[in-house]
Amino acid sequence: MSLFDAVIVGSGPAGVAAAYELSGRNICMVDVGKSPSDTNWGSGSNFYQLRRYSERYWNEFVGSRFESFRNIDQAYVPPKLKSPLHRFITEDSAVSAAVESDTFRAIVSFAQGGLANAWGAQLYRYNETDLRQFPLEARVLEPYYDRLTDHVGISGSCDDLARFYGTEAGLLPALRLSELAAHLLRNYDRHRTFFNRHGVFLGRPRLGVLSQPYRGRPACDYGNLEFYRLLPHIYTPRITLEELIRNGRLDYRPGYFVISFEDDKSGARVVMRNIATGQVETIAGKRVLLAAGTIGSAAILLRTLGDTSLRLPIMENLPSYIPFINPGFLGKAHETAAYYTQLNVCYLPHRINSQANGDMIMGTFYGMHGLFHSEFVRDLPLPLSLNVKLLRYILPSMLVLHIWRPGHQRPDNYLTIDSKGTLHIQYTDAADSAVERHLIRVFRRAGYLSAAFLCKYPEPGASAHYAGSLPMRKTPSKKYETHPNGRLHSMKNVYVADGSVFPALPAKNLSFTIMANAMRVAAGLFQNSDRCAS
Amino acid sequence: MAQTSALDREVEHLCHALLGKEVPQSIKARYRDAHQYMFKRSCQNEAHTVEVVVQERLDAEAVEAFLRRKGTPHLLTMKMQLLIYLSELSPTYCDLFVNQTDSRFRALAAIITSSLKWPYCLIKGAYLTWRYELV
Repeated sequence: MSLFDAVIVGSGPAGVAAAYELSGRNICMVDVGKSPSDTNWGSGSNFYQLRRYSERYWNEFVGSRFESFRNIDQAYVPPKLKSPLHRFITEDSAVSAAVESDTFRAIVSFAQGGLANAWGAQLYRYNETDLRQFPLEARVLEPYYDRLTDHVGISGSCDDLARFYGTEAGLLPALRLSELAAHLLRNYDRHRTFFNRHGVFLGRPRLGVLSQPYRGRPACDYGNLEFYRLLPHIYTPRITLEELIRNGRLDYRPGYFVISFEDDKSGARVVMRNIATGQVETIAGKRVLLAAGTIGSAAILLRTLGDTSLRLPIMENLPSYIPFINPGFLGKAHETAAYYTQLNVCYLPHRINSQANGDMIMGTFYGMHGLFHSEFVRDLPLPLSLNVKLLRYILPSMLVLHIWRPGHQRPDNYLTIDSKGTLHIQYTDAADSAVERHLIRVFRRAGYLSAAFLCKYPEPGASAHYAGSLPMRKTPSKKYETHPNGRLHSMKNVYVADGSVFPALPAKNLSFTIMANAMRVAAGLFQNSDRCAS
Repeated sequence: MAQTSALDREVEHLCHALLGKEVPQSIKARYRDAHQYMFKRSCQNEAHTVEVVVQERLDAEAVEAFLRRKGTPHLLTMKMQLLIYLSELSPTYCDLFVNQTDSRFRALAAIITSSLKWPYCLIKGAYLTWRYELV
């Protein structure tokens, strides 16, 4: 059996970033690797033009099995994940890896590129405050953030959020704002002192979405098809994965489900099932790097240890949604060429309440672009035909603020595995509405209105921002904890590169830090090759 | 066949309630097709409510508005949302959904008239729900 330098498990942001760092070495990536069926439909078109021909594009907009309508009669999934052309992202995940829970609706992907195929591409650097519970310093990650910024192409600007998001060096210009979002930003500028005094800061998001052509990929065309298909102007790890494969810098092996691993002095072996044949195979490396995601990597370790009593921690960025309306925009013509992610909010509760901890809460204002209005018809309290009429006039005046709360390790929140290998998640967390009520009060000053009863609180799991199942510690003591260099404490040659190693989960989007940390772990894989890394 | 006629009667009645118009054949066909994949776990009582609303030609909108006040979406709500979706996807009705020209006064008029109709609808829905013992 040939021995690779490293075997990477998973092709999401962590796995691909690690492979990018390790290219030049003899590396193999094993993956279930479901791939999309059509990546060219609708190229150069606009959602608002195509929707007039929905009968012709039924399979793309709705699906032969009415997949896009699943939010009508089934548990909610984010809009991107229910579109037919995105079906590959979560297809068969319940079959491949059952997760049972009454309290946490896990979203898991076995696609090439992982859940990132449907991400919002929000990419933020963690600073010292974000990393205060991590056993590493922000300066250690900076070189990797810089290289990723150059590789990915990130649009953004230097504004009031720069103090939270870090240097603007290497950024492409920010995307064009909708008229409504530009109005909100202007009003924020006018009332900046008031907002900041209440702990609220507003500015542009940092997005892996191109505002201009970059490295052979086109600029955003504002066509509003983000919810329906993969688009070249939105960076996803699949783009880097395809590049590595094309350039012969990665031995990529899809069609494998990783069951467990074995580890000894000479290296480690991944035990995996060939999905097509059902045969169990192994592949060996001097190092194995788990990058299967917080739930995936945890499941692999639990299957390896075979310990049904072991409880692994798990955290989530609990989300909520606040719809805001500006009355001055009621009845305006609906803007048909705007990107849906508009503005970001950073809120510091401790600015106004000294009892609050130092955690920042983050939010993103989304414009109502690119979605069928029928999606929202139940959300207004009036009779449905009136809601249809009103949505026509209200949606152009609406921005929805998606809030992310920081996640913390709690003893009530954990993963276990049973004797049949089924993963179980127990999760207890709920948002109180204090944050939402404060933001509603503050944004009223800018002319944006909402009410607490309009806020939505999705069930745990809905954010898909999970972390912490194999947490990094300065001095690990438990067999599922990881060293600062990513090595699993109970193993000699098995490392972990994904969000499972996060010991804390700031509200700031974790994707960019997952990638930077994965590069850091990969870079250090062979530094102490004569002895077990520690 | 019996189920097909029942679904046809259902979509005709619900379309009349929602849009005040006759339902195009294409929407009828899609409505029937959707039922092969949707509403598999619907509650018997709620299915009966839908049947009664259709058979007795009740004001579906009023009943739905009243029943929607409960936490979990009622089957009637879900079926009407399906129909609204199919209407938005249909070339006949898609322009009803997206505002294409600035129309502030129409917006205000719509908000005012909707606000006035709402309590009437709720009261009517409450009465019909009580009168026909709908759940």
